[in-house]
Amino acid sequence: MATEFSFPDSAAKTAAGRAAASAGTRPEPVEGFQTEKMSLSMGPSHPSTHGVLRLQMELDGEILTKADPVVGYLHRGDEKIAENMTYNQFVPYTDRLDYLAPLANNMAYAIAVERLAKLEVPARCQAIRVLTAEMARVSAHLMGLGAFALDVGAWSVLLYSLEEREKLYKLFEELTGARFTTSYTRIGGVTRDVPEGWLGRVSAFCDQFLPILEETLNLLTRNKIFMDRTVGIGVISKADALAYGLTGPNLRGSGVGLDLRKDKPSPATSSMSSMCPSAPRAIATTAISSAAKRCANRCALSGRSSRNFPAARGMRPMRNASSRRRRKKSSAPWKS
Amino acid sequence: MSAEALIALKAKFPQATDRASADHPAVNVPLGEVVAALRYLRDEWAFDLLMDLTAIDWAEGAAPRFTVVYHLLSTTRTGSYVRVAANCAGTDAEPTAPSVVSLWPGANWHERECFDMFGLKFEGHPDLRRILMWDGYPYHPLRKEFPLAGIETDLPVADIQEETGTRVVAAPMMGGPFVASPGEMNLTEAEPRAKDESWADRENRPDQTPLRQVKD
Repeated sequence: MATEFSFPDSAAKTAAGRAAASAGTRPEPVEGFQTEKMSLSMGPSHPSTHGVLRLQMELDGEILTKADPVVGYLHRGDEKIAENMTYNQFVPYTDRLDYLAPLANNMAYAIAVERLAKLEVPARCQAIRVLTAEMARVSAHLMGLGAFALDVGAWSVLLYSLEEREKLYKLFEELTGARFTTSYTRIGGVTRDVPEGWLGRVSAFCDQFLPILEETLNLLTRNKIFMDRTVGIGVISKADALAYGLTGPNLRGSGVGLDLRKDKPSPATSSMSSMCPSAPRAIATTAISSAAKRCANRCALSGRSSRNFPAARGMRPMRNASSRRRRKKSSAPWKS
Repeated sequence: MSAEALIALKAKFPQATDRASADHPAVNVPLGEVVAALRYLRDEWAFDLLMDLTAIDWAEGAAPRFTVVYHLLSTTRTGSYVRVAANCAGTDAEPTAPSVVSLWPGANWHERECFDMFGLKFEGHPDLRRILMWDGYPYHPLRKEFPLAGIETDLPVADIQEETGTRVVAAPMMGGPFVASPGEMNLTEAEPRAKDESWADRENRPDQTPLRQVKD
């Protein structure tokens, strides 16, 4: 009953196909062997996609020769909804635009309306907004890092990053009353001041976070499997990146040093130092490590801004010996 | 830097005029010159990134009815950002504008979205299909005359509709919260919390007690 199976070497086949595709040649057709391209519809709800996206694909063996993305399954018509509301009523909808960093969306929307209305918000409110936006960014980067690592086969990074996110969620909940859909800003300000002792807890989070981030990255960035699956894959040339209007880390990963926070800082951020790691080579590990570094920089920035906070009238400024000691300890290892 | 670019643009294209803007400099350009003006900004003034391409519907009866707006950013001249706007040609039912896909391939999806939402026809676009709504959807939802609740239409798949007899029905929203319609409830009545100003920071809420602090 013993049957011998021979398994195809799929990795070698894929590599050969990729080499042929990059050289612009197709493999020689075998005599008398009919081949045809396969068309495959993937999605809109598929276990490997995060969200709903349908891809109408054309496959030649394992090589994807054509893909037509069908988007719009999550189109909610926010602009139309906003037409029928007052400005403050729209704030909860901004939570849902990017649900990984709702605090940053709240702020962006509020600033846009305030600019149109020529409103100026007080310094303390600006500082609160910058701090919460940076915390939201750390939380979103953590999710991005964890989910990306998970997709290329590294489970543990997600567990680490979710644990840190949980700590951030606790801080968000204490500040806004909600873990996820914060709706924190109002036109001209924020819903409420920070709770007593909250800034100290943010500092404490930042201090304990940096060693954990380092530990997480040790699991990932020099991992053989991770590097095999990311290095040199999906490289976008600088010309393509500009032609297709990429922004943010993707654009910087293609070698364009554009950083809005540095080029056009808001009044509140300009007083705090910001760093822009520009990835010279477009490889995924560089992008990941720069994302992580940015995470660390953001965290250091959050830590700094939570310590030099503009005081509200009638409130005691946050200044004590223990916070100075902490600042010294945290700024050293991430100064690259 | 952005302002200088627009001064040079106005010297080269005399029909271009200043456009009111709260933040970045902006310019109005006749529709026939918009591609040339954008190419000039891209090639001579290094506005190499098309950040956004969108349209404005000035509502029914307005002339011009639609304006198309281009947002340009320069990655080499730090902080340079301009907007270029042009009033669309064509009829209200089918306004037209030239496509800029030849300048920025990334404009492809932006123009498809504009076509989908506003019904703007971009001439010279390689593949002008709907992008968010399904193929065959009869309306352009971001036009001002389109109601918030939607309009009853056929299902995207004809045989399912035949079998089930279902249609895409309008959401029962009229008269509900957040919907202002003339002669009916206004927004303050529909959303009474809007009148509650007890959270204003000048005075405390009468029932306000100090929050219990969570210790870590």
